[in-house]
Amino acid sequence: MLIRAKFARDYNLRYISHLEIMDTFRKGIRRAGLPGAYSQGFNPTLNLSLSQPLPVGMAGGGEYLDLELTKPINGESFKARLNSFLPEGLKILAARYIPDHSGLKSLQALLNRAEYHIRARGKLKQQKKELIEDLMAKDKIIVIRKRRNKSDREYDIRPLIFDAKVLAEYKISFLVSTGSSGNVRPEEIIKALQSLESDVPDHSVLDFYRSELFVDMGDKIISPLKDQVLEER
Amino acid sequence: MVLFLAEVFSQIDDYLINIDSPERYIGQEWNQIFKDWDRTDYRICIGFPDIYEIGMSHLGLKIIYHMLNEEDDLLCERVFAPWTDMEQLLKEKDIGLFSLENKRELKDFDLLGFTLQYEMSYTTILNMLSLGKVPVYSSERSKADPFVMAGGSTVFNPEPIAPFIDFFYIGEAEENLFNVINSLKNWQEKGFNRDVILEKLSQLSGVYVPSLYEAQYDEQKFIGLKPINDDIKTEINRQRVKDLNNAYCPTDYIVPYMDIVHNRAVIEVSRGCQRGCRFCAAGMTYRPARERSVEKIIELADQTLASTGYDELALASLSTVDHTKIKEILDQLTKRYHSSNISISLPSLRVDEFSVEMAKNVQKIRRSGLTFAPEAGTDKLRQRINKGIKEEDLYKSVKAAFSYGWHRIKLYFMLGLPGETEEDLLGIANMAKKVLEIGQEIRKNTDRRMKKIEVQVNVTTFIPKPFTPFQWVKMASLSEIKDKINFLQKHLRKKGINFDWNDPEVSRLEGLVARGDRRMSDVIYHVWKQGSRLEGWNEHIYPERWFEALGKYNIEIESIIGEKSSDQPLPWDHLVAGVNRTFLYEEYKKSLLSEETPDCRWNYCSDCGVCYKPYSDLCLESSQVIDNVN
Repeated sequence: MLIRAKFARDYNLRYISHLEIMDTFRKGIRRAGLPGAYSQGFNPTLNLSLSQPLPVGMAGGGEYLDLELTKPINGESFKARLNSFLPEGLKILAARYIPDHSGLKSLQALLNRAEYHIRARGKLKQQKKELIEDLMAKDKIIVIRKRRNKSDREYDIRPLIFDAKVLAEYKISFLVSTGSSGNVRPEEIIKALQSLESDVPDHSVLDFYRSELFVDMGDKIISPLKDQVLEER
Repeated sequence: MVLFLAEVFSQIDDYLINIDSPERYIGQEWNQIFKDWDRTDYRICIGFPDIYEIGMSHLGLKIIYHMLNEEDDLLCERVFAPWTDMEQLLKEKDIGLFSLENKRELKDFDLLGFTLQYEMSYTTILNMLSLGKVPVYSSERSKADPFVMAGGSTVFNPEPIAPFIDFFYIGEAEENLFNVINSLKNWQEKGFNRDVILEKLSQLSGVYVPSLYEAQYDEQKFIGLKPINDDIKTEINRQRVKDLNNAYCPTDYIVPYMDIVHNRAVIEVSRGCQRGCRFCAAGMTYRPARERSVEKIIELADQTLASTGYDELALASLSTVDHTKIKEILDQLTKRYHSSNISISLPSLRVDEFSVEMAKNVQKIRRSGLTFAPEAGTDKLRQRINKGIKEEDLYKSVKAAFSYGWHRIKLYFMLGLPGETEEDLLGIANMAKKVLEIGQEIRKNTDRRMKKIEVQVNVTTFIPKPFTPFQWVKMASLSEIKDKINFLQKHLRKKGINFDWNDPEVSRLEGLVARGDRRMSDVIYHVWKQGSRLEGWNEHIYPERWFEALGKYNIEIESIIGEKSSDQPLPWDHLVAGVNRTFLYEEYKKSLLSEETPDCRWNYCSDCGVCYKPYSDLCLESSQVIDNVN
C-alpha cells in the first residue's frame, strides 16, 4: 500500500535542505495521524521517499513523494489532511492511493525528465530567443564536470536537452534529462549559453526553479501519478 | 503565499544563499506564532545570546514565547545571535539584527528580553544589541529605544552586566513576568519617561533595576550596593512557581527545520533539586523541588507529541530520576507510546543502579554511551561537596550498564574542588581504570557481541559560584589546575581510556564573570569592543583580551575569585534566592568537616530557608515521601 503525491516546495522555503524537507514531511504525517508504515529495526522511521533532491536555494513546483501505508487512505483525503499539518510553503498538490506497490519502481528511478525555469538576466534576457535557438541548433554542447578525487571530465549535454522555450519577458524554460541515466544541471545550461555569448552573466541557484518532473515513456512524457506509469512494473 | 516580509529582510533574502545554515534566519517553522505587526499594540522580542541551534533547544525561552503570545494585544518574537558570516552580511548591508517572525530590527520593538544561561554569553548580548541598533549602555537609551530586560539561571549575579540591562527579572517567569510586562506596557503607552518607568518597575516583585543602586568599594574591595534613595527596596525576591501542575506550560512548541541540539519534545517533569550538592548553583537557586503529577505529565506529553510530530520525548529536570513517581511515569509512557514508534529519553542520570535500570527500560535502542557524574575522585571529597554517592555505587551502576549492553561510559569530574588532594586525583584515575576493568571483564564473559569498552573521562575546573556554600571560596589558580591536568594525563594513559578537559583558562574567565561585581562590566565592554562574541565557541574566545582588560581597568583577579570572609558583603547580597546566607555558610562549614546534608524530602529539614517551616505547602506532601520509602 502506498500513497504517491505531487507537492510543491515554495520560494519561502527554498533554504531548507532535502533532508530537512523529508523530516518536515515525516513530522507532518505524524501530526496528521496518517497511517504511514515504519521501517523495521532499531530505529524505526516512516518509510517515505522523495524525488531527486532539490538543491538548497531552489524552489520546486512538481516534486513527488511516496509513503508506504499500513491502512488504505483515499488520495483526496490524504492531500487535505496532510496540507493542514504542513508549514506554509510546503503543499500537497495531488495524491493517489496505490493498493499494491509490489514491483513499482522508486521515484528516483522513474523520474528522468525535469523542467527548469530560468529567470533570465542581462544579455540572456535581452537575447533569449536567439540564444536558445542557437543552443538547440548545436550538435554538441561540451561542459566540463569536476569530479571528486578525479580529473575533470568533458561531457556532451546536447543529447540530454529536449526542449527550450521562452515563457515570459524574463523567463525561459528547459526540458532536460535528470537522474542516473544522465543529468543536466541548470547552471550547466547557463555555462553552455555563455560559450555562445560570453556576455551572458552568471546566474545563481535562486534564478532557477524546477517546475516539473516527468517520466519519459518513449512516446510521451507523463506524470508518475498516471496509470501508464503504475501499470508498468 | 509567501508571508509578508519586512523590507529589511527582502533586502538580504537572496544573499542568504551564501550564508552557512540559512534556516537559522528565516523562521516560518511549524507552530511559529506570527502576528500582524501593525495591528498589535505592544511588541516584544526575546533573545538568546547564542546561535539558533542552541537557543531553540532552551526550554525557558519556549515557555516565555508561548506564554506572552497568549495575549492578543502583544506579540513576542524571537532572535538569536547571528553566526559570524551573517553578522558580516548584516554589517555590509547596514541591516539591523532582526526578529525571525516579522523580520523587524531590534530597535523597533518596545521591549527586548535576554535569557542568561552562561557567563561567557554576555559579550554576545552586547553584540546583539549593537547589531540590532540599540545602544548597549542602559544610560544611553532614549524614549525611542526599547527597554532591555534579562533573566535566567545566571541572573543571580546580575552585577557584571548591570549597566547594559534596564531591569532584571529574578526567578521563574510563569509566576510574575506577565504582570511585570503588563505594567511596563501600560506605563510606556502612557508616555512616561524612562526614569519614571524604571522607578515604578523597581517596585514590582522580582524586578531589579540596577541603575537605582550604587556599588561601593574600598579600593579593590566591594563593600556594598546601596539604593540611591530610601524609597528603593533593598532586597529583591526571587519569583517562584508554587504549584508546577497549575503553572503555564505550552505544548505547541515550534518545530525547527534544522537539526538543533535538543531536537525532541521535552516535558519538564520536575523543577528544582534538593540533593544539595554544594557546588551546584541550580540546586540552591531553584529550590524547592516541585513535581508535576503523573497525570499532568501524560497529558502534556500527549499534547506535545500531537502538536509537534516529534518521535522522541525527553523528560527534563535537574534530576529526572528523583521524581518520586518516575517508575510509574516511565511505565505509563512506554506502554502508551509503544506502538507509535516514539522513543523516550532521560537526559540526566543519577549514579545508581536504579537509574541505569530506568534508562534500560525506556531505551529500545541501546545507545552507545551512558554518562555519570561522580564529580570527585574519593568518597571523602564527595562528602565534602555533598555529592552523596559512594565509589561502590558507581561500580554497581556501570556493571549494570555494561551488562545491559552499553559499551561506552563517560565520567564527569571537577578539578580544583576545595580541599582536593593528590589522593583525590589518583581516585579519579583509579575509578576510570576500575570502570574499564569491570567492562572488560563483562565483555570477556558475555555470549553476545559487544563493542570494545571505552571509558571517557572529562574534567572541568570547579567554579565557586554565587548562592552556593562555596561562594566564599578561592578559585584554584590556573597553574594549579594545569598541574592537576598534567598529573591526571600521566595517570590515565591507558588503552581504552580517553581523557579530555575543558580549557581551564576559559573556566577562570567564567569564574570572574560569575563572581564579579559591577567593575566587570568595563571588562565585558572592552572585550566586546575588541571584537569578541560567541565566546561559548572555542574558535571565538580570546582569553588574552579579558586579561588585558582586567589590567587596563586595574581590577585584581583575587578581589573577585579570591577567598572571602563570612562577614564580607558580596555583590549579589541584595538578591533573595530563597536559601539563606546562614544556611549556605553552615553548609560551607560542614564541608570542611566532610559532613553530609541529606535531601530533606526523605530526611530532616535542613533549614535552608526556602520553606518558612518544614511541611509548608512548598514542601512535597508527606504521602510522596512514604511512597518512595516503600
